[in-house]
Amino acid sequence: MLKHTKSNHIILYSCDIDNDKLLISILNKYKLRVVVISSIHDISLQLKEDTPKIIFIAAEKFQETLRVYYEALDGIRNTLPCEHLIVSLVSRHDEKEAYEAFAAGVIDDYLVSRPLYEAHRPLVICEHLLRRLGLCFTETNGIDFINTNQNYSEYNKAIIAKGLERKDELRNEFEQSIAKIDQALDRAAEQIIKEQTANLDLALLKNTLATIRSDEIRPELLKIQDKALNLLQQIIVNAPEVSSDIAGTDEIETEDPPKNISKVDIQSQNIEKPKINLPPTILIIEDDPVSIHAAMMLFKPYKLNVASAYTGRRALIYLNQQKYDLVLLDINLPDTNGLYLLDQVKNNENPNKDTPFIMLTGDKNKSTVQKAIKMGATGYVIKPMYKSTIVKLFKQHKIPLFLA
Amino acid sequence: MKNLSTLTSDSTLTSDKVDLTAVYQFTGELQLGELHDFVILYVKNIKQGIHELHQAFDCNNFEKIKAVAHNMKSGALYIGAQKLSDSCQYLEDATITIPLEPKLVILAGKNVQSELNEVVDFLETWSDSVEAYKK
Repeated sequence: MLKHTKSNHIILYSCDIDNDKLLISILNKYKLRVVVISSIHDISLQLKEDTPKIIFIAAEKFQETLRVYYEALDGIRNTLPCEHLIVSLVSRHDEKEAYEAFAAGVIDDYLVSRPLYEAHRPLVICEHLLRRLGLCFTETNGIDFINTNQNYSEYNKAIIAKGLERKDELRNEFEQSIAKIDQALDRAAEQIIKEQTANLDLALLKNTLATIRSDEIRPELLKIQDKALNLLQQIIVNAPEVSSDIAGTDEIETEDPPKNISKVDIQSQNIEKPKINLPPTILIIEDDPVSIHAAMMLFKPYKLNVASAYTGRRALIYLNQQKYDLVLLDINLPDTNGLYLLDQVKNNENPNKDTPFIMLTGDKNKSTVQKAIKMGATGYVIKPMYKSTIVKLFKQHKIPLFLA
Repeated sequence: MKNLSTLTSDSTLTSDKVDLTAVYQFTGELQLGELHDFVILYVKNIKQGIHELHQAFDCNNFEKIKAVAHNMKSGALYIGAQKLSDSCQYLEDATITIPLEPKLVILAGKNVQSELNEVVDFLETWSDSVEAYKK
């Protein structure tokens, strides 16, 4: 965590600065420098600057604070904005509306500042938002706090000091455990990218996580770590496990192909497979918008580049343009069928000649699927695509699923 | 107006025709808004399918009937509409029966229509509840 510097991390947009004098003076008193601006264009300029920042926006009505911010954001449509968080300054009358906007993720926080009822609330907001930005401006020292408060009884001081000490111990243990897990996950991820077998003591890591969970510290981080661990478990290369999966998987099936190639042979061809783009690139060719939408939601949490094509014609354009790591191809398309498309790619010069194609089919129509396998498809999935099926599919093709 | 916990409780997400909790098997975890968007898209899509099905029946276009039933069959599983999926399978099978029995296809079509009515009705009612909650 960086210590707060004098950089311009706190911005206040206000067209009536008299109303916000108290807010500014409180922030200044605690050495938080505030840059005051009064035009939407200035907000856009601030968003363009690299420094991460909190932007307080004051306006007559809450909805105006939203308009101002989103208009400024729209003003830099072609530029990547800096990391920033938005706080609406509202009247008590608009508090409920502001809370609902906060709960819906429209803003990052809000402050009832017209008038400012809780003088130190702006500092609390700055503290937690700066932390979210990887910055902080206060030193955590609870012991100093209780010692400087002369009106606290010795008994109360002792109880609080003991509790603070315990919390410090737990925090240190937590930080150390997380650092250990982070390092182990990083090492494993690097090995997977290099297509090496990753050695990771999952049982030990799970036990560590379970211990930390019981302390109920920073549950969000734990959740992320836990998910990362689950994902890693799914993609760690373990040859015997992969073979048994292929034999036992019902939803993803690699049909017995002609030319006496066994299922295991198909898998071993996959193991020697090609370098995966990072992030992996996936193309879904499917004419059903509901299926596409579901697949997009399924892929959303992961670091993947997912493209979709509703027609064979559009798909062929995409397939001619770039190499994908995996193509999910519906057999029935409005302007052609998947078999024709597969034939075009596999039997002509195409960047995706060696890309694994998985056929999407409404039923186990053996003749169509058999035909697709003969033409070079790696397997097929019975629609609709279940999440568990997709995870297996990615594992089978050694495509890493990292959380975004 | 229904509250969030009511809207997302299993009892409200399911009926004897629909089980909206099935969506999670395909999409992973969803926020209420995302589920709502999905349902809206599904209803829009299914209404288009109903329209195409009617047109196909009007023209006795059995190939088209088969194609629409085929699409609806797998789509129904997203929202846990197993009975609708089964009735679509039955209709699809009816269109490929040799010799073709138009009466059987019409009967199967009526069955699909009846299932569709109940499914759409449930989804629209649920969707309205979410809209009301949002307001």
